[in-house]
Amino acid sequence: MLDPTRPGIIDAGYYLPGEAVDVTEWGAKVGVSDLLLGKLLDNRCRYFHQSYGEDDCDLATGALRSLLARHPVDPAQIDYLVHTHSQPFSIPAPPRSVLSELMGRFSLSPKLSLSVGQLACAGIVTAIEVASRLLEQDPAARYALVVTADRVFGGPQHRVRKDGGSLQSDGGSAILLGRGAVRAHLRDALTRNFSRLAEGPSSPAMDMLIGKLAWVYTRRVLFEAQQRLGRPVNSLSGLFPTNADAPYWKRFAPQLGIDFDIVFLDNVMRRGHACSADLAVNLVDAGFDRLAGGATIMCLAQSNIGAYGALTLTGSTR
Amino acid sequence: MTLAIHGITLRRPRAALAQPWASTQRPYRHLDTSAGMLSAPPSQAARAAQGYAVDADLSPTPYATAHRSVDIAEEACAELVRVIGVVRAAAVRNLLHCQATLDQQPLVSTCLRIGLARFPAVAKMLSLGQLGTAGVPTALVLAKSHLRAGLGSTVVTAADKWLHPFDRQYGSLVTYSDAAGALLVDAAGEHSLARIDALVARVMPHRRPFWDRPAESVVAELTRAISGLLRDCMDEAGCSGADIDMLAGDRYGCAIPANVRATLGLGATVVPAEAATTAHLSSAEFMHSLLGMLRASRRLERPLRGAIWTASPNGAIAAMLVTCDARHARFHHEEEIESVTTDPGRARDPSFTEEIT
Repeated sequence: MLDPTRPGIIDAGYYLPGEAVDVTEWGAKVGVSDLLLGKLLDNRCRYFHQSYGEDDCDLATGALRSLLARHPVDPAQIDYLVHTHSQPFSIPAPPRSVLSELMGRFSLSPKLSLSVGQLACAGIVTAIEVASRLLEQDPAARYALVVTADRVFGGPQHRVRKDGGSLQSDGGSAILLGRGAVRAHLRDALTRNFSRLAEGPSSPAMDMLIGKLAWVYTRRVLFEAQQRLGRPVNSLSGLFPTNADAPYWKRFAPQLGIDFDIVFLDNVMRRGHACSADLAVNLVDAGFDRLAGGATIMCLAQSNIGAYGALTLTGSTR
Repeated sequence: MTLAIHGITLRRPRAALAQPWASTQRPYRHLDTSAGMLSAPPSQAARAAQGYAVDADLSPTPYATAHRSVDIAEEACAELVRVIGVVRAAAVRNLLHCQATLDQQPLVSTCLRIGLARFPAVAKMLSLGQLGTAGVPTALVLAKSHLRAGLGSTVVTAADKWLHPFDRQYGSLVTYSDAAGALLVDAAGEHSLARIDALVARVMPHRRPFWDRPAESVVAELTRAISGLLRDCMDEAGCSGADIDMLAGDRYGCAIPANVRATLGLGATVVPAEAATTAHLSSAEFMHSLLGMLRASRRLERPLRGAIWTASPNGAIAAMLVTCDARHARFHHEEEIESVTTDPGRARDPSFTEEIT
């Protein structure tokens, strides 16, 4: 039974810079091979977003503006600010800080602010879990805000994964947590970490190990998340992974015991993989609608460094 | 629930081991791309133009090229396990790693690598960033949140290694050294080294980046912010300056520590902290201040009520009131490592002595 007084997600917003870029036109210009382009299209990867001259603070700012346009709140009532990012360089260089710059731009004065790092694309689930816990332990607090920003660094080879399974976008997101009029109750936030992949994709040997273990770990996390939930993922109104890996989902769904049709992959083509922002992007585009009437969905965050997260959300019935 | 420190360790390079990173090596090639330019630090020339001149060269010793920040973090954790014992280490449930800089292999996750390697039951791990060198107090706030939620004890680690193009020196304001540290946080108990009486961690955004302003205005702003936060912390604990035995803070130049002390009106009874004649230990600096307070408690053979502050030029700032009791503590100090314990089981280890340096 969900406690209606516990914090949940009130709303979310995202910012993907510029017009969507078509990989077929872009790929021809930057020299992506026909073979790789063909693989990308086969794997549903078609559009992505690229920033020009906007830094990570700008992407987070765009996302927060989008959230505040959907759900205006007094910045003074935001008591906790939690930032996260996947890309190691997607932060302003020290001594700058995305936290202090966002606080300056939006006149935020949180009681505590922090940035969750080094968990790659799974950091978003930890960020939400931390923000929710801080809010829950502080009855006087009104809102907690989770923001993300990620950009691709380097040439086309960094935007297109060499197996054609992912097309990277630049983007930011913002998720507002609070009590009362929540759209999504936090039913469970499971985070699991596997240290064998902690060095990330830093060498061909690590690339091989990631390829060997990433889906083994995914299966473990999904299995545990289902056990904690007490019902199979197939009974939910959707499984929302990051916006990548469509061919792997198709191949592994039977082994994972997942009905492929419940896996939300529409945004792999439409939005590209904007790292930590994917969770909010998918919530806004489809997740909130699926939660209508008190339904339950699961958002799954995987990474290439061994960090995983599964966030189970139940819609409000009010 | 009262939070306390139960073991602490610090690791920093010594001159004999120094093999400075060659300036021609560029571990962060991504910053040379057009997207990377927006994440690159301000140039030395831009900072010099604002008066960040060097009048006291502290010459910090950098770690050797092959010694990554994740390695020194792991070494600090290994020493912490020796300090707290394997049984207690096996009960640690959370690991929070603080880092202002990037590892030279930037794709690594330090928290994941050191977490399960040294503390097999750790379930929650994360790295705290964007708080400059002032991340440790925020980690302590999260450690308290873990305890309140029944999630168990927490190890807080810190490690930094400064590599091009990130400069370790901002004129005479501050010089950062490579260093690492680790401490165990749990509920206060019989073998606590330091009980946390009040803790405040904030981010106070500047109107303009500090390197874009004259050094004098930065010094004035830091002094004002640190003093204000220490007053908030004393208010939270219901005490005044007269109750403070010792004030310790980051080793900034430009007389910031002395100005903070004068602004707070702390009298001659306050035990002086270490002068800023050595470099700031980056994210591990807060642990260094705590160790200094423990050494003073042992030397004076009495508990000390101390106030510790840390501040990063990026606006992250924190203050903590702590009661240190190292009368029965035993210290270990060798070439690169320093640690302290009150655990009677660990104190039998002959490498721990009653001598303090």
